[in-house]
Amino acid sequence: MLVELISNSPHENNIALFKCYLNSCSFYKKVALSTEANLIIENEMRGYEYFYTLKGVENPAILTKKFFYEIDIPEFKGKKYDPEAKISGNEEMIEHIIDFYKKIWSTPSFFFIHGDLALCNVFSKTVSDFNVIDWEHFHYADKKYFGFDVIHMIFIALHNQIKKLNYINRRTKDFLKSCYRTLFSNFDINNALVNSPFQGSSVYIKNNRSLFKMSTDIEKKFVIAGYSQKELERLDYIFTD
Amino acid sequence: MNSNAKLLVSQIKKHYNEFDGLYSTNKDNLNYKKYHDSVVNIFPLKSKKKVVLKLLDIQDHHVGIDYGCCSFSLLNYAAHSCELMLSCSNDAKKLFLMKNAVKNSGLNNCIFIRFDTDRDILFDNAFDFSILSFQMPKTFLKTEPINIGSLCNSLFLLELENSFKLAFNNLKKGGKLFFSFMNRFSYTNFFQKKDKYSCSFINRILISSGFSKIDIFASFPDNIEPERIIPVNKKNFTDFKASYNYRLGKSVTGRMFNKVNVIVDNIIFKYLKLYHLSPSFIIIATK
Repeated sequence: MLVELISNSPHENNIALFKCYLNSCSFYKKVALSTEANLIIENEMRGYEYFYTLKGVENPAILTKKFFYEIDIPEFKGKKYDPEAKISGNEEMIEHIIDFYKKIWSTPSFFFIHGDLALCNVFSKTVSDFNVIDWEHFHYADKKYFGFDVIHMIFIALHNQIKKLNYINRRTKDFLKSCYRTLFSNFDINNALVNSPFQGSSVYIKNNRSLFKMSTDIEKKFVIAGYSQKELERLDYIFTD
Repeated sequence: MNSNAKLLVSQIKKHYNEFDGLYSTNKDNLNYKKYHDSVVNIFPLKSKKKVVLKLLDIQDHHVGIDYGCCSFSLLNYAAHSCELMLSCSNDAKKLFLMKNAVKNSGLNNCIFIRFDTDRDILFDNAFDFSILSFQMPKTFLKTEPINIGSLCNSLFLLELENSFKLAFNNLKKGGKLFFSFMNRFSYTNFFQKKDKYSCSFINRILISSGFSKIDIFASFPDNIEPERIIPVNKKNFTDFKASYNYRLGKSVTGRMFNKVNVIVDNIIFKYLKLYHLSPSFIIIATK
């Protein structure tokens, strides 16, 4: 088996990602480099288990508990997105992900949060079937935080767009509003994010660091947590208007 | 412990002296203090270093050997993943520090032996993997007298070839040797004297030592704490994008050089794919 190191503790989390080539197949291997990182790997496996249980298909991820834990993840087929993917040009995909999120995340009696949902962590097999990777920050949460993952995903795409274009065009603003309407149609009256989605998500991350299994500076990992409340308020106004 | 490991332990105890653990660490021993500080103070940063051992595919039942044991973290990680680990060095201060560190981390599957430089460690076909933590000598600058450089180089190469042959004899069939080194033909070493330690040169020595399969990996930004390792012979690897730090400090100059390095790396390795210019290599040689 030939291996290639893709990343090594990118957020000082002591986890390395390898791509492995065996015969004509390839798969990814996430490896813990410390006993603390074992908990993150175990948590990631839990995320895959619940996600595939809800989807009603067999979990393709395999956890190996050596002294340092490892998780094997297949190379999912389908469309892949760049970590720098913007909203412009990916509107259709975002709409499909919101539909998928509502279908999968709404059904169970318990509610869970992926924690780091972004376009680059989603693989679309078809327009209605997705695989989601990177469940390191998976945790259970109160159902009043329904929508957190989608808000986080939209924020990252928006952040990439603002960074590159330095402004939000009319088309994107309209698209954001339509996403908001779709996500929160028939919303629960107790939902904590419906009035100020970006501000609420940022506060949720900052107040629940332990749930996200973050040992280092949370602002470096989650861009939304690095924005000021004033900036988020302005973006919330565009999103919810 | 499996029968293979038990047999090996009895062989070691019969033919070699286990390190007695005696070494003076008092304040006057500057030699030890310097070494202790260099290893222990930077140890928390070294978890990144462990990834290189994944290339060896260490299994629970494996028995390994670390020649030189100059890096505790590799030894520690390998020992966590295998049945038995033998560490040998001719340097008492290294053995003392590592024996204590291993003891403190709760491992009891390591044996330390101190060997004489005149006597080889011979265990024919006993090990599943070997780590050769051999320190390459510093590159000699052009300003240095050429005769000193040539002399040291020839001594070093002789030692390297002998080490490879020794490692080969001690490995089982199919066993793997880990060896890493900085590439002297990298553009980052452009202004330094070019010597013989190219990847193809090391490759030739390994083949002449008897190894049947040699996998070469380009390691970025260095071979100590790599952030990206790419198999050089594999054509369709994941797209390269330099995003690592060259650890040049946080000064303005350091950050500037880091940015320049990342841009140059993207041009050379992402677009031109000139992997023989990579900053360092890791070699896994199979018997």
